[in-house]
Amino acid sequence: MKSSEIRKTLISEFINLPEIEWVEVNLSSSNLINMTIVSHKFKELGFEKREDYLEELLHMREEEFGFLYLYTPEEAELMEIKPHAETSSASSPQTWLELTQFALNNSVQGKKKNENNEFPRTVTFYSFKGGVGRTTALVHTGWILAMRGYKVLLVDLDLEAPSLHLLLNNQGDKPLKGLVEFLYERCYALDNAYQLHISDIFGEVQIENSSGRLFVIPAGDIDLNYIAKVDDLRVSALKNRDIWETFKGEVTKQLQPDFILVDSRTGINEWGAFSLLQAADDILAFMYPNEENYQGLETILGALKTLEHSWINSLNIVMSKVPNNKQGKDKAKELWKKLNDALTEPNEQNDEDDLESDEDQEPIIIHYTQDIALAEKYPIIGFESVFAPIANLIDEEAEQTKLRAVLSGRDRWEIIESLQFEVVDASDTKNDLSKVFQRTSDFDKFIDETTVVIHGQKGTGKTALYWMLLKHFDQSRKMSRGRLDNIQSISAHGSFRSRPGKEEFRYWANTISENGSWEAVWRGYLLIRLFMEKNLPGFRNKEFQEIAKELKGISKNKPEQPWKSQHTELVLKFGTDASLTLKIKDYLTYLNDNQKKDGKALWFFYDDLDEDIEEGSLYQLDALSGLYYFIRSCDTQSLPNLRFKTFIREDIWNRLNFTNKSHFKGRDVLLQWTRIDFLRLALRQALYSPVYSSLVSRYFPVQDTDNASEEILLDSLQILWGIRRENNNHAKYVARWVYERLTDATGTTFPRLLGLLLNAAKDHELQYREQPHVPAPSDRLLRNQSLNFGLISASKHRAQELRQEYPELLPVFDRLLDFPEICSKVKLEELVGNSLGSKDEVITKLQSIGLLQELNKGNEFPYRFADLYAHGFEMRRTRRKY
Amino acid sequence: MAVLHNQGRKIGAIHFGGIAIECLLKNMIVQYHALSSWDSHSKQTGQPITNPKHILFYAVRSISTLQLRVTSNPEVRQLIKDVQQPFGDHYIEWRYVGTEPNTEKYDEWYQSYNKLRKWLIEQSKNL
Repeated sequence: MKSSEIRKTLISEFINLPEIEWVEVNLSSSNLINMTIVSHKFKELGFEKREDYLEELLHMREEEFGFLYLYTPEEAELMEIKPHAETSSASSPQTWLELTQFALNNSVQGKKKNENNEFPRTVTFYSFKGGVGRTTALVHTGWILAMRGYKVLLVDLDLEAPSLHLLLNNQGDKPLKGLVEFLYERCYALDNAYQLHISDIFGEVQIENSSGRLFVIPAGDIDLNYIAKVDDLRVSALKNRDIWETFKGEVTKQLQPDFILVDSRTGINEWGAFSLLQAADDILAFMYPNEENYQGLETILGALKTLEHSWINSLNIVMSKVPNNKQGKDKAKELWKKLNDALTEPNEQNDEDDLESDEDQEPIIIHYTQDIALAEKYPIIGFESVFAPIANLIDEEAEQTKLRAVLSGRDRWEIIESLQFEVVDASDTKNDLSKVFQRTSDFDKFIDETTVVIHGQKGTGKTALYWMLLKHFDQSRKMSRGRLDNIQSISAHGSFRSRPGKEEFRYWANTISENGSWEAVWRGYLLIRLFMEKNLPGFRNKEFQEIAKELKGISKNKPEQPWKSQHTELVLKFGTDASLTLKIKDYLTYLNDNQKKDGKALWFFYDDLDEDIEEGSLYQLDALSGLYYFIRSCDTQSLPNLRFKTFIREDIWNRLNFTNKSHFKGRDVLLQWTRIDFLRLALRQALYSPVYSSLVSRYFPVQDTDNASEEILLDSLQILWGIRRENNNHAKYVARWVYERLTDATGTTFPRLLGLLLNAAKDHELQYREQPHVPAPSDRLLRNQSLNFGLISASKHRAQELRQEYPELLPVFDRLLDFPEICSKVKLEELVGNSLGSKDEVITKLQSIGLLQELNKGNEFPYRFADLYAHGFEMRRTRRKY
Repeated sequence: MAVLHNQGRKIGAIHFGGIAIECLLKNMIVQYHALSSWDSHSKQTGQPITNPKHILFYAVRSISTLQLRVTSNPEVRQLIKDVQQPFGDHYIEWRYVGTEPNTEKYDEWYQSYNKLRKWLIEQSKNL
C-alpha cells in the first residue's frame, strides 16, 4: 500500500474531530511505515490492542511497521505531542539519501532552481554505468548546438574519471587550471581571497562557419596534486558556500552561455548527486539497452521523476550505443517502454483526453557506430545526425525558454485581444476569401486539367475552391504557378451566380422523363449559362440558327441577372428537343475549336449540387448521373478545351452508381486536410494579428507559410498554443491534438472549425483576465483549458451541422446524449433502433458520414464514435466500454 | 538517572532515562543543525527545525542520516521502542505509575537504555 493510500485509510477511520484528532505517516527507505495517530478510537485500548487494531485495519504485519505512536487526544495533550513536520532535509533534495526520502514521501516543497527558465540552462548528462557513450554524446550535442548558433559550455563534473580536457588537446588556449582547482579554492580559501578567475579555467573549441561558440571547463590535468585535491574536496563544503551558484554566476558574467552541459559522475556517487540535484535544470539519463543498466536506472530515475516539474524541469532517457540493427532497436524500444511505464503514474496513463498512442512515443536512440567508437578525437565531423535528436530535445526546451521570456515581457492580454480568427465559410459572401484561403496539398491535383470530380465531406473546402477560381481568379492563377494561364473560369452551377434550385430541378425531373434526358438538360443548361455570361462566340449562319433563335428570348446583357422561369423552360426545351440537343452538341464542338484556335480553354465549375438537388429524392441520383454522362459525352466528343470541375459531397459521390463511373477514376480528388495544411491555416489565422506576426518574425521566422516545413510551423504556432499539451516530452503535441480532435471517423478534417475553436478559446482565455489568482501559462497564449473549451464549442457547431445535413438521422442523433463513445455491436443496434429501416444500413450510413468508426471486427467493443462529435452530441466520454 | 538507578528507584529511573535519551538526541540535533533555538533555520538544510518534544522518533527524524541508520537497524529500533514506551507506557507517563516493575523487566529496560545511549553517542561523532 502506498503511503498516500494508507494516509487516506487512516483519516477515514480515525478522524472524526479534525481539530484534535490527526494522523501522520512517514515511509522510511527500508520500507517501514512510521505513524503517529491521535484519535478517540484508542480510548479504553491498551498499547498492544491499539497495534492489533491498526494491523487489522491496514492488513499489515507487525514487522512492516517502524515507529508507531498511537494516542488518545488526552494522552497527546499530556505529552505535548503535535504533528511534526519533516525537517531533516532541505526543501529540495541535495544528496541521494535526501532524494530517497523525498521520493518515498513525495514531499518536494521547493521551487525550481531556475524558476524563470532563464539562460543559461544546465543540462546534466548522467548514466548509471560507465561506457555507455555519455561523454561522447555530450561533446557532440554541445558541438551541434554551437553549430546552430548557441553559446555552449561543457563542464566536466566527472571529477574521479575526467575526460573533457582531451577535447582541448589540439587547441591553442588550453587553460592552465581546471574545475577542481577552482572549486577547491572556493571551498577552502579565505572568503574573497581567491586567486583563480573563471577565465583561468576554460578553453574554447573552434567552430568554423557558425556564430555559435563551444567552451570547455575541464576537471584539470591529472597529476598528484589533482588526486589529492579531489580526495579532499567535499560536496558538503561546496554546499555550505553555495559554490555551484557562485560558479554559475561567474560563468554567466564572463561568457553568457545559452547552455551549460554537465558531464556527471556515474552511479550513486556524491558528485553524481551534485550534478543531478544541485546543478541540473534538465536531466538526460543515458542507458545502454541491457538489464544491468535498466535495473540501476529504474530506481534512480523513479526517484528523480518525483522532482520533475518541481525541482527540475525535465527528465529524459536516451538509449545509447544501441546496436545498429533491428534487434538492437527492438531491445532499446522494449526497455525504454518498460522504463517509461514504470516511471509513469497510473493516473497519468489514464488521462483520457491526452492519451498518447504508442506510436506517438519514441525513444531517443543513439546507434553504435564503429567510426565513433574508434575515433581518436572528438567531435567527429559528419556524425551530426547521430546526435541531433539530443540537440533537438535541448533546442526545443530552449525555444520554450525564449518564449517564456517573450510572453512574460509583454501584456499577454493585449496580444490575445489582437488575435483575429476568421471562420472560413466560403459560401458567406461577407468573408474575404482571398485573405483566408489556404492553399492545401490538394490544390495542385485540383487544378490538374484532367480532374473532374472534387469530392469531400461538407466543410472540407470545396466551396472555397469554387469561389477562389471564380471570384479570385488572379490570386488562384498566381498560386497555380502558370497552370491557369489562358484559362477562363465560368460558374456552370453554384452560388457565384443566381441559379436554379430545388423547385427547378424537381420541375425538370417531372417533365423530362419521357422525351428527354438529364444529360441533355445539363448540356442545355450550360449553353444558357454561357450565353448569360456573354461567352458565346458568334453563331455561324444557318448551322446554329435554331439555337440562336431560342436564346434571343432571354437577355444576355447581365451575367448577374436572376435565374427566371424563362431560363428554366428553355433548359427543359433544350433537354427534351432531340434536334436542338444535337445542334447544341455541335455548337460545343465549335466552341471548343474556337478556344483552341486562340490557345485558350474554358473551365466550368459546378457547386452546391447537394443543396440544389433534393437529398433523398427519387431523381437525385439520376440528375447527378446525368451530369457525369454529359461530361463523359463531351470527352467522347473530344473537347479538350472545355473542362469540367464538379464539387460533390463525399457520401453522394459514393452513392452514385452510373454506367462507366470508372471513366472518372484517377480524375477525382478527395479533398483532405493533411496536418501540415491545417497547421498552415492555423498560422495564417494567427498571423492576421500584427502583434503575433511581429513576435513570429522575431523569434520563429517563417518565410513562406505555404511551403514551410511542419517543424517550422510547430515552432511559430507555439506562441499561440504551446508545443505540447503538458510540460513533458512525452505529452501530445498541441497541433496534433487540435488536428485529430477536428477530424472525423473517416479521416476528414474540417478547416472551418479551426476558426471556431480558436475564437471560442480566445474568448475563454480572456475570461482569465478577471481572475488574477489563476496563474497564466508563460509558454503560450491559449492554455489547454481554453483549447478544450474551444473544442467543445467547435464540436457542438459541427454536431449541429450534421443534424442539418442528415435530418433523416435525427432520431439517432438525439439518442447519442450520454451514449458511450466506445460500444459493442449490441449496444449500437439498440441506439439505431428499428424505425429507420435496416440496422446495418443505418450503421453503414453513420460510418460513411464520419460519425462512427469500426475499429476491429474481432473486438468485443468494435465501434467508436469520432472525438469530433463526442462533445457536440454530449456523449459519455469514457474509456469504459459498453 | 544513574543516581536513581543506584538507589533502586526504578520508576524514577525509567522516567528520567527516557528524558535523558530525549536530551541526548536534542543535543545532537542542536549540534548537527547548529541551532540557536527551536524553529530557527538549520545551517545544514536551511529548513526550520521544530522541537520533537517527547517523541524519540521525531528527534531521530530530524537528522536524515540518523533516521536512515535507525530505520535500517532493527535492533536499534527496538531499543528506541523499549525506552520510548517501557512496558506499554510512554516514559513521561511513568511518573504517574505507582507500581514498581519487577527486577527482571527493569534489568531488561536498563540494558536497552545503556545500549541505546552508547550507540547514540557513537553516532553523534559521525553524522
